[in-house]
Amino acid sequence: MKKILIVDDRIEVRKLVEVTLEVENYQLLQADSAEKALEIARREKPDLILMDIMMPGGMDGLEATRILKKDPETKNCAVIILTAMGQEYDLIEGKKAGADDYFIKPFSPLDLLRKVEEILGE
Amino acid sequence: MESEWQCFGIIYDRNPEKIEIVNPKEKSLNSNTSAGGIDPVEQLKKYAEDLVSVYKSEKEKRKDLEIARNKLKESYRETINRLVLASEYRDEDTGDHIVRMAAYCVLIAEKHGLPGAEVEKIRIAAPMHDVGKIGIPDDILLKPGKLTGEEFEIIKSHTLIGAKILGGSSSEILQLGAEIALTHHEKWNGKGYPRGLSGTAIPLAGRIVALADVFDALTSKRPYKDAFPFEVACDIIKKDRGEHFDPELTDAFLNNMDAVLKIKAETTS
Repeated sequence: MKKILIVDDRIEVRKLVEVTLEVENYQLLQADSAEKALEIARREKPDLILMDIMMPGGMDGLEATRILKKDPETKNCAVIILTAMGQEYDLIEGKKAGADDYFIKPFSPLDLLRKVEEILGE
Repeated sequence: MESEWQCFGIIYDRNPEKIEIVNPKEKSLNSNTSAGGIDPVEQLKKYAEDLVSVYKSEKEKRKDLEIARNKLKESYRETINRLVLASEYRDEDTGDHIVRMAAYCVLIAEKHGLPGAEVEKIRIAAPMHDVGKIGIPDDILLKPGKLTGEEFEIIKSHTLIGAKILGGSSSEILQLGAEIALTHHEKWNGKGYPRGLSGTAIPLAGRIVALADVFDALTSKRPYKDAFPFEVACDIIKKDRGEHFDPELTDAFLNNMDAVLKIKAETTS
């Protein structure tokens, strides 16, 4: 079963994404901060991370992506960054950080499902 | 900046109109979104929008499926009709007998209290009762005079031939057609053919068709006979109640003569 880590500080968003992806047979993990995302990613080696960029706390999703993509242990894990409308500059930073794709929030759940399937090769 | 933009080609490919390239220096000015990102209500709205679009396309698909299903049903029925026409081709000028006896079958089945879906199956399957005639040679099928015992034995085999043509199908309609073909000459008292079944050992559809078929034969003109008047035909049927015919079905039929007359009027060209 493919593992997906959902990273967002808002529980509402995590819940929505969880409900969406439950349609397919994925194992879903959650983190509410970049720090926790790193910790879980190292431990669980998910196939895909949905990474919010702006989160309270010391580290943002871009920094976490950078670290994950540099670490040989986690660099094969696909990262889709999620950023709010109006923050499109993050996308370029995200690409530089090594993100595989992106979504602008609010995103279409159907598009998310399709993209996740595409990336995980279902 | 430019080269970075181009190397991030997926953005451009996916959503060109939505992307604005923001100068890094302006980034702080644009950062009016709260640290928590977007309002979850906005995200919920997206879910609702997707739900609506899925709902609409589902509805559209259901409509298309319904149309396709009806077309298939129609062509299925037409194929059955043409099979019936082929089997009647040599000895029946018009398809009237088939249409009429199917309508009588429906009337009997309804008055007997069968559920709508069963009645519908009988409506489609009943016309196939004589497809086995396709295997009866011309000189016997079309013989104007009285048949010898041997010839009658051959005529009787149209029940077995029909069951063989229609049998073994996965289609419920054809299965019912096979059952009707095999049993529509059985008699309630066990003196029918091919197996001499009696009473409720004869499948209901076979009993219904037996009654409708004989009644229509009596009230139709044939090369060797005139049509009996309705009253005479009814008397003959009544006499055979519990002999040739299932008594309950006979009652259901004879108690609804106005509907029978209406069918006769509507289906005779």
